[in-house]
Amino acid sequence: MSTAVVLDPNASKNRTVHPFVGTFASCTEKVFSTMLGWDIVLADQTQSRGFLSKYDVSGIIGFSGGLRGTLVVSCSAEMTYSAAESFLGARPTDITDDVVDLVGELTNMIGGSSKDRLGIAGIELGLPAVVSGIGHRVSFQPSAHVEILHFLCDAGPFTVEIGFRLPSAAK
Amino acid sequence: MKVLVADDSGVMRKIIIRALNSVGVTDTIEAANGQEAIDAFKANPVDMILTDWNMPEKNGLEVVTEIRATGSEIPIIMVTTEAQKSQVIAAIQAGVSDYLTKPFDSDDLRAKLDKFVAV
Repeated sequence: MSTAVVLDPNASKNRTVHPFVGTFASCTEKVFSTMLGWDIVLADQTQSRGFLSKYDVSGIIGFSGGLRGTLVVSCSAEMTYSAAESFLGARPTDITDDVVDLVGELTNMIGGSSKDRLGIAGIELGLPAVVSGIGHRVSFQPSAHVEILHFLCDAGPFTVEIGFRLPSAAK
Repeated sequence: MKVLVADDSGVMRKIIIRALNSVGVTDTIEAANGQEAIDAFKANPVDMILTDWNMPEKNGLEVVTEIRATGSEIPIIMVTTEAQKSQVIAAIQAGVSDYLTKPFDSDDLRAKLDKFVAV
Protein backbone atom coordinates (compact mmCIF):
# COMPACT_ATOMS: atom_id res chain seq x y z
CA MET A 1 0.00 0.00 0.00
CA SER A 2 2.78 2.46 0.85
CA THR A 3 5.09 3.93 -1.69
CA ALA A 4 8.81 3.96 -1.08
CA VAL A 5 10.58 7.28 -1.12
CA VAL A 6 12.34 7.90 -4.42
CA LEU A 7 14.64 10.86 -4.60
CA ASP A 8 15.14 12.31 -8.04
CA PRO A 9 18.87 11.98 -8.72
CA ASN A 10 18.70 15.13 -10.82
CA ALA A 11 17.28 17.26 -8.01
CA SER A 12 19.71 19.90 -6.92
CA LYS A 13 20.86 19.64 -3.36
CA ASN A 14 21.52 23.16 -2.25
CA ARG A 15 24.26 22.88 0.34
CA THR A 16 23.15 26.13 1.95
CA VAL A 17 20.38 24.98 4.26
CA HIS A 18 18.07 27.57 5.76
CA PRO A 19 18.59 28.06 9.53
CA PHE A 20 14.95 27.17 10.16
CA VAL A 21 15.66 23.60 9.14
CA GLY A 22 17.50 22.74 12.33
CA THR A 23 14.62 23.95 14.47
CA PHE A 24 12.01 21.93 12.60
CA ALA A 25 14.27 18.87 12.62
CA SER A 26 14.92 18.95 16.35
CA CYS A 27 11.26 19.62 17.15
CA THR A 28 10.20 16.71 14.96
CA GLU A 29 12.62 14.44 16.76
CA LYS A 30 11.32 15.60 20.14
CA VAL A 31 7.68 15.09 19.20
CA PHE A 32 8.26 11.54 18.01
CA SER A 33 10.48 10.73 20.96
CA THR A 34 8.26 12.10 23.73
CA MET A 35 4.82 11.31 22.35
CA LEU A 36 5.46 8.01 20.56
CA GLY A 37 8.68 6.86 22.17
CA TRP A 38 10.19 6.49 18.70
CA ASP A 39 13.77 7.22 17.70
CA ILE A 40 13.92 8.85 14.29
CA VAL A 41 16.88 9.74 12.12
CA LEU A 42 17.21 12.71 9.80
CA ALA A 43 18.50 10.92 6.73
CA ASP A 44 18.61 13.78 4.24
CA GLN A 45 17.65 17.37 3.58
CA THR A 46 16.65 18.59 0.16
CA GLN A 47 14.81 21.48 -1.41
CA SER A 48 11.96 21.39 -3.85
CA ARG A 49 12.21 20.79 -7.58
CA GLY A 50 12.45 17.17 -8.56
CA PHE A 51 11.19 15.69 -5.33
CA LEU A 52 9.25 12.61 -6.34
CA SER A 53 8.12 10.90 -3.19
CA LYS A 54 4.50 10.07 -2.68
CA TYR A 55 2.80 9.24 0.56
CA ASP A 56 -0.54 8.07 1.87
CA VAL A 57 -1.28 10.52 4.69
CA SER A 58 -0.22 14.16 5.09
CA GLY A 59 -0.80 16.52 7.97
CA ILE A 60 -0.84 20.16 6.89
CA ILE A 61 -0.74 23.29 9.02
CA GLY A 62 -0.23 26.91 8.09
CA PHE A 63 1.83 29.69 9.61
CA SER A 64 0.92 33.37 9.44
CA GLY A 65 1.96 36.64 10.97
CA GLY A 66 5.70 36.83 11.54
CA LEU A 67 6.32 33.92 9.17
CA ARG A 68 4.05 32.93 6.31
CA GLY A 69 4.25 29.32 5.29
CA THR A 70 3.01 25.78 5.50
CA LEU A 71 4.25 22.70 7.28
CA VAL A 72 3.49 19.29 5.78
CA VAL A 73 4.19 15.99 7.53
CA SER A 74 3.81 13.02 5.17
CA CYS A 75 4.08 9.31 5.78
CA SER A 76 2.83 5.93 4.69
CA ALA A 77 -0.42 4.46 5.89
CA GLU A 78 1.52 1.60 7.49
CA MET A 79 3.49 4.03 9.57
CA THR A 80 0.33 5.68 10.85
CA TYR A 81 -1.06 2.27 11.75
CA SER A 82 2.08 1.53 13.79
CA ALA A 83 1.77 4.85 15.58
CA ALA A 84 -1.94 4.44 16.26
CA GLU A 85 -1.57 0.85 17.45
CA SER A 86 0.26 1.94 20.58
CA PHE A 87 -2.71 4.06 21.66
CA LEU A 88 -5.62 2.07 20.38
CA GLY A 89 -4.51 -1.41 21.45
CA ALA A 90 -5.24 -2.75 17.99
CA ARG A 91 -3.56 -2.04 14.68
CA PRO A 92 -5.82 -0.17 12.28
CA THR A 93 -6.17 -1.61 8.80
CA ASP A 94 -7.49 1.55 7.22
CA ILE A 95 -6.98 5.29 7.57
CA THR A 96 -9.59 5.73 10.28
CA ASP A 97 -10.71 8.86 12.13
CA ASP A 98 -8.26 8.00 14.92
CA VAL A 99 -5.41 7.77 12.41
CA VAL A 100 -6.35 11.13 10.92
CA ASP A 101 -6.60 12.58 14.42
CA LEU A 102 -3.13 11.30 15.31
CA VAL A 103 -1.48 12.71 12.20
CA GLY A 104 -3.16 16.04 12.80
CA GLU A 105 -1.97 16.15 16.39
CA LEU A 106 1.61 15.24 15.49
CA THR A 107 1.62 17.94 12.82
CA ASN A 108 0.16 20.45 15.27
CA MET A 109 2.82 19.65 17.84
CA ILE A 110 5.70 19.89 15.37
CA GLY A 111 4.36 23.19 14.12
CA GLY A 112 3.59 24.56 17.56
CA SER A 113 6.88 23.66 19.17
CA SER A 114 8.84 24.87 16.14
CA LYS A 115 7.18 28.28 15.91
CA ASP A 116 8.15 29.10 19.49
CA ARG A 117 11.80 28.35 18.75
CA LEU A 118 12.31 30.12 15.43
CA GLY A 119 13.14 33.44 17.07
CA ILE A 120 10.49 35.30 15.09
CA ALA A 121 7.82 37.25 16.92
CA GLY A 122 4.14 37.10 16.12
CA ILE A 123 3.89 33.73 14.37
CA GLU A 124 0.37 32.34 14.42
CA LEU A 125 -0.43 28.70 13.77
CA GLY A 126 -3.48 27.60 11.86
CA LEU A 127 -5.60 24.54 12.45
CA PRO A 128 -4.17 21.26 11.18
CA ALA A 129 -5.77 19.48 8.27
CA VAL A 130 -5.10 15.94 7.09
CA VAL A 131 -5.10 14.66 3.55
CA SER A 132 -5.41 10.93 3.05
CA GLY A 133 -5.07 9.21 -0.29
CA ILE A 134 -2.73 6.51 -1.47
CA GLY A 135 0.17 7.97 -3.41
CA HIS A 136 -0.87 11.62 -3.15
CA ARG A 137 1.48 14.55 -3.46
CA VAL A 138 1.42 17.92 -1.76
CA SER A 139 2.88 20.79 -3.77
CA PHE A 140 3.88 24.30 -2.81
CA GLN A 141 3.57 27.47 -4.84
CA PRO A 142 6.62 28.20 -7.00
CA SER A 143 7.28 31.35 -4.96
CA ALA A 144 7.73 29.42 -1.72
CA HIS A 145 11.13 28.50 -0.37
CA VAL A 146 10.81 24.82 0.45
CA GLU A 147 12.97 22.70 2.70
CA ILE A 148 12.33 18.95 2.84
CA LEU A 149 13.49 16.85 5.77
CA HIS A 150 13.68 13.13 5.08
CA PHE A 151 13.38 11.03 8.22
CA LEU A 152 13.72 7.32 8.82
CA CYS A 153 12.35 5.24 11.67
CA ASP A 154 11.57 1.59 12.33
CA ALA A 155 8.08 2.11 10.93
CA GLY A 156 9.38 3.52 7.68
CA PRO A 157 10.36 6.81 6.03
CA PHE A 158 8.47 10.06 6.34
CA THR A 159 9.03 13.69 5.44
CA VAL A 160 8.57 17.06 7.04
CA GLU A 161 8.30 19.81 4.44
CA ILE A 162 8.40 23.48 5.24
CA GLY A 163 7.41 25.92 2.54
CA PHE A 164 7.60 29.59 3.44
CA ARG A 165 8.16 33.13 2.29
CA LEU A 166 11.51 34.24 3.55
CA PRO A 167 11.18 37.11 6.05
CA SER A 168 12.91 40.12 4.55
CA ALA A 169 15.34 40.31 7.48
CA ALA A 170 16.32 36.67 7.08
CA LYS A 171 17.08 36.74 3.34
CA MET B 1 -6.81 10.63 42.58
CA LYS B 2 -9.36 11.41 39.87
CA VAL B 3 -8.40 13.52 36.87
CA LEU B 4 -10.62 15.13 34.24
CA VAL B 5 -8.97 15.19 30.80
CA ALA B 6 -10.44 17.67 28.31
CA ASP B 7 -9.27 17.68 24.68
CA ASP B 8 -11.17 17.60 21.40
CA SER B 9 -8.70 15.06 20.03
CA GLY B 10 -9.59 11.52 21.02
CA VAL B 11 -6.04 10.42 20.34
CA MET B 12 -4.60 13.17 22.52
CA ARG B 13 -6.93 12.17 25.36
CA LYS B 14 -5.62 8.62 25.03
CA ILE B 15 -2.02 9.89 25.04
CA ILE B 16 -2.62 11.95 28.17
CA ILE B 17 -4.44 9.11 29.92
CA ARG B 18 -1.65 6.71 29.04
CA ALA B 19 0.85 9.17 30.53
CA LEU B 20 -1.33 9.50 33.64
CA ASN B 21 -1.53 5.71 33.95
CA SER B 22 2.26 5.51 33.74
CA VAL B 23 2.57 7.74 36.79
CA GLY B 24 -0.07 5.86 38.77
CA VAL B 25 -3.22 7.81 37.96
CA THR B 26 -5.82 5.38 36.66
CA ASP B 27 -9.10 7.06 37.59
CA THR B 28 -9.88 9.46 34.75
CA ILE B 29 -12.85 11.14 33.09
CA GLU B 30 -12.78 12.38 29.50
CA ALA B 31 -14.38 15.44 27.92
CA ALA B 32 -14.28 16.16 24.18
CA ASN B 33 -15.05 19.87 24.35
CA GLY B 34 -15.19 22.75 26.78
CA GLN B 35 -18.85 22.42 27.67
CA GLU B 36 -18.47 18.69 28.33
CA ALA B 37 -15.54 19.54 30.59
CA ILE B 38 -17.61 21.99 32.62
CA ASP B 39 -20.51 19.55 32.84
CA ALA B 40 -18.17 16.73 33.92
CA PHE B 41 -16.59 18.96 36.57
CA LYS B 42 -19.99 19.81 38.03
CA ALA B 43 -21.16 16.18 37.99
CA ASN B 44 -18.01 14.46 39.31
CA PRO B 45 -15.72 15.06 42.29
CA VAL B 46 -12.37 15.34 40.50
CA ASP B 47 -9.02 16.22 42.04
CA MET B 48 -7.41 17.85 39.02
CA ILE B 49 -8.23 18.99 35.50
CA LEU B 50 -5.99 18.75 32.45
CA THR B 51 -7.41 20.80 29.62
CA ASP B 52 -6.45 21.67 26.09
CA TRP B 53 -6.70 25.30 24.95
CA ASN B 54 -8.34 25.03 21.53
CA MET B 55 -11.60 23.12 21.83
CA PRO B 56 -15.08 23.47 20.35
CA GLU B 57 -18.08 24.70 22.35
CA LYS B 58 -15.86 26.44 24.91
CA ASN B 59 -12.10 26.71 24.77
CA GLY B 60 -9.77 25.90 27.63
CA LEU B 61 -9.52 29.49 28.74
CA GLU B 62 -13.30 29.71 29.01
CA VAL B 63 -13.37 26.43 30.92
CA VAL B 64 -10.86 27.75 33.43
CA THR B 65 -12.71 31.05 33.81
CA GLU B 66 -16.04 29.36 34.36
CA ILE B 67 -14.71 26.86 36.88
CA ARG B 68 -12.90 29.56 38.84
CA ALA B 69 -16.12 31.57 38.90
CA THR B 70 -17.67 28.80 41.01
CA GLY B 71 -15.06 29.47 43.67
CA SER B 72 -13.27 26.18 43.02
CA GLU B 73 -9.54 26.12 43.64
CA ILE B 74 -9.05 22.75 41.98
CA PRO B 75 -5.67 22.44 40.23
CA ILE B 76 -6.12 23.08 36.51
CA ILE B 77 -3.25 22.40 34.13
CA MET B 78 -3.42 23.73 30.58
CA VAL B 79 -1.99 21.13 28.16
CA THR B 80 -1.39 22.79 24.82
CA THR B 81 0.98 23.74 22.04
CA GLU B 82 0.25 27.41 22.71
CA ALA B 83 3.33 28.50 24.62
CA GLN B 84 3.87 32.12 23.72
CA LYS B 85 4.31 34.47 26.63
CA SER B 86 1.09 36.39 26.02
CA GLN B 87 -0.91 33.18 26.00
CA VAL B 88 0.70 31.87 29.15
CA ILE B 89 -0.06 35.17 30.88
CA ALA B 90 -3.67 35.03 29.73
CA ALA B 91 -4.01 31.51 31.06
CA ILE B 92 -2.51 32.40 34.43
CA GLN B 93 -4.74 35.46 34.72
CA ALA B 94 -7.75 33.25 34.02
CA GLY B 95 -6.77 31.04 36.93
CA VAL B 96 -4.73 28.21 35.42
CA SER B 97 -2.57 26.53 38.06
CA ASP B 98 0.16 25.45 35.65
CA TYR B 99 1.03 24.95 32.03
CA LEU B 100 2.22 21.83 30.18
CA THR B 101 3.33 22.31 26.60
CA LYS B 102 3.02 19.61 23.96
CA PRO B 103 5.03 17.53 23.29
CA PHE B 104 5.54 16.23 26.82
CA ASP B 105 6.61 12.94 28.32
CA SER B 106 5.50 11.15 31.48
CA ASP B 107 8.31 12.77 33.51
CA ASP B 108 7.07 16.23 32.50
CA LEU B 109 3.55 15.27 33.51
CA ARG B 110 4.68 13.71 36.76
CA ALA B 111 6.52 16.91 37.69
CA LYS B 112 3.35 18.94 37.18
CA LEU B 113 1.15 16.52 39.13
CA ASP B 114 3.57 16.38 42.04
CA LYS B 115 3.27 20.14 42.52
CA PHE B 116 -0.38 19.89 43.45
CA VAL B 117 -1.39 16.45 44.66
CA ALA B 118 0.20 13.33 46.05
CA VAL B 119 -0.05 10.60 43.42
